[in-house]
Amino acid sequence: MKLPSLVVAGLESAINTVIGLDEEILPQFAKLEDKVIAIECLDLELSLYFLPHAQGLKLLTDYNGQADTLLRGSAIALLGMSYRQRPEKSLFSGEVKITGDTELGQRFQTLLQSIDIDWEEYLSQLIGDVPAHQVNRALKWGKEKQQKTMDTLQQNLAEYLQYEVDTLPSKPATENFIHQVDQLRTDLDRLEARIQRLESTIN
Amino acid sequence: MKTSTTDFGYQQVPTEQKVEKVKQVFDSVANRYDVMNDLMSLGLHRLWKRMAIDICGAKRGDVVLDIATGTGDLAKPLAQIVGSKGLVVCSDINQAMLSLGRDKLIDQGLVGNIEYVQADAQNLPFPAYSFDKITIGFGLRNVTDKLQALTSMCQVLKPGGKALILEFSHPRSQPLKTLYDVYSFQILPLMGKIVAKDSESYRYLAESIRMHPDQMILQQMLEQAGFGQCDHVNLSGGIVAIHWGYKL
Repeated sequence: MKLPSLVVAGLESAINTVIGLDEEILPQFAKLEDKVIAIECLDLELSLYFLPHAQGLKLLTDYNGQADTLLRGSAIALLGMSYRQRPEKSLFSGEVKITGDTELGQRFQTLLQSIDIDWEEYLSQLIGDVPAHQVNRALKWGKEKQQKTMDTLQQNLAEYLQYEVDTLPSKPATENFIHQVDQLRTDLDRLEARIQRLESTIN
Repeated sequence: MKTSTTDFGYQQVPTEQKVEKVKQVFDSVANRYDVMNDLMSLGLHRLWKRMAIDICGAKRGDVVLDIATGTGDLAKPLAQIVGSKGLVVCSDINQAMLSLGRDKLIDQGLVGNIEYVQADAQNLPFPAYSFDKITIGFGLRNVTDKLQALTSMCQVLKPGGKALILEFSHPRSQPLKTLYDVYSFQILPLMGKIVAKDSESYRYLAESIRMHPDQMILQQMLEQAGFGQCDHVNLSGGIVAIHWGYKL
């Protein structure tokens, strides 16, 4: 499947608008000029090529040359990788396969994740400095409140599952269990080595 | 002795006068060129140009010639694709358009891998085998001798290189053709009069499109000029077509 030009144009325009709102990020894209990063979505049979340049990113559905880095995986795995705090987990688990210049792939992803938009500055150009500051404060307050609510909810849920209904073990109990399993595996390995040594002595 | 003539819209003018007449048209519309393009095509020209770039197949490190570069709408994405190791040569016969295009691209930060040459597409001033790709967007129909321009393009292209022509063409269905005629001859000159204060240049635009070879003839001309594996694709029902051919 090939993404229609209109969709790619819209996507490219949206990405470049976002990039354009972060003044510090553009020089980072310029450093990746001459590189090509390809993303291949296996289940959708879809390829997209990212060509960084000094003004942002160029997106192509076809590229005649060879990409420096190729990321292959299912749509969910690729999306998951872009949202993860530690994207390398997707690589180690084998959900996403990376070929070519792996360091470039990681640099590119870090770059995309590090885009920090100065919304206040952007808004101030549209509605003025004071209203933009007020809106930004309100948004920050909302974001903090949401984060706090989420943290509390997560903590309460964990406590309920561990202590009230006793469905899940606590973190120290889990760690203790893992430690015991490790200990058992080590003891088993030692025992196996000892048996082999005894067998070789008898023979 | 009878002087040779060529078309300038629906008029027949002495061949040597066409360049000057086309120059006058573009000198007149240069300042409002981008605005008029957006208005006339309802923004569709951006999509047509994007598809041309996709089909062109330029890659990192390529040396690309963009003929009739105008305000640099094709040169900009090409420069971003070829990167710092590649080169885009922008050429235009019209100094006003070339200057406008250069200023626009520089203002957008596109420097280093772009060069500008004022040149006639019929006699490209480059050594043979210089370019990996050649593009010409909405420029061929203004060229006096189109076959000579295509031959000149073929000469400066590297073996295996690709030439791409993005140009207005002929709608494939009769209802669309009727609508398009009304739009071209009634609405377009009116828009030109209001926005660019020049209805005659936009009347010329409509007429020159009708006088431009249709899809199959242009493809045959490409083959005649020395290109191989020629093909074309119609956009917006044939209002615009992208032709391409390779130097084999």
